Amino acid sequence: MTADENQLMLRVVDGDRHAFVQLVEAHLRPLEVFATRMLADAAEAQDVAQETLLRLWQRAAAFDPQRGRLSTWLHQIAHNLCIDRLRKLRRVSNWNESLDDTPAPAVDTLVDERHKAVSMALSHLPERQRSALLLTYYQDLTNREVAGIMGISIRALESLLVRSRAALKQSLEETV
Amino acid sequence: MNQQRLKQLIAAYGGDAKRWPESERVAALNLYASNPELAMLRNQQASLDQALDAHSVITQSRVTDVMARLANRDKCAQISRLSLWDRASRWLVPDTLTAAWRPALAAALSLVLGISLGVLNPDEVGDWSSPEQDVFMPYIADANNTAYGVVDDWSDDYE
Repeated sequence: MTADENQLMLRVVDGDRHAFVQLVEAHLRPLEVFATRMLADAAEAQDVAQETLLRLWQRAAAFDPQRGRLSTWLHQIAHNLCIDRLRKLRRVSNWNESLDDTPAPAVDTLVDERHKAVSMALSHLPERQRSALLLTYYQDLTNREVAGIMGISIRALESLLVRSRAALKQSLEETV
Repeated sequence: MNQQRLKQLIAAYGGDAKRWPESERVAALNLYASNPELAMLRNQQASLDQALDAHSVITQSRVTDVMARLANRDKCAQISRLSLWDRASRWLVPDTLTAAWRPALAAALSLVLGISLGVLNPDEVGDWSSPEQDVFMPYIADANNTAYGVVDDWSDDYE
């Protein structure tokens, strides 16, 4: 957490919307990127990213800079929201499948086949492997921070990373 | 740092040293430099790293979207703090013209309710065809009754 962000957070606690806007500008995009890769659904990802920042506004006083960076805290909220959404979507998907066997069209914002292959491979990873890989590889977080977000040890995180990379590699070799 | 740990780092974080944990990076690179055979391990991860690096995502949210949601949430929170009567009043008399149908609907419902009650209870309406004096006769007959008793006819006193 930078000193600037620390100041902004103090102002947000006091209800300063200008400070909040600056934090939204800094964090909205990375959160949406993470949620899009997690959920493979652009609309849900937008909702998760925006909801995460609204929770920052509502619970700013609960943030403790001694415990970690603001970015880590926000990713933890976004990650939890993504897990909730995935479970709900899975329930809906299972329900739909019981009514109709035709596969739902894949929703993503990617442009070419290789991107689609990576997207598909990521979406087929088990939830925890996907979280570990996306948070570590893309979100500019340290392994300690990712382990904290996921509530696991660094050793367990690295085990998930090894398995996720192996599964992704195999999946991509089969499709591309 | 040993060779086993370096292999673990490459398998977990990929071949790009900048993604390795900062606390182990320098030692891992030094070990790597002295073991050229480890290059094969990094190369094995290179294609996956390239595929992951190329995986871009287009985002669509704007700051204004978040602020609009915040404003909407504030409005909902304000309304939830209002009493039932205030909430009903706000619903009935909206701020915007787009919701002007609400008072119109309330007026129309009142009209329909009134007409329905009138149609369903015709006996409640009196017979207005009777002469006016018949209707008011009881009051006129009791005109000399007051709270102090019956007022005498004083007309004789002045004669």
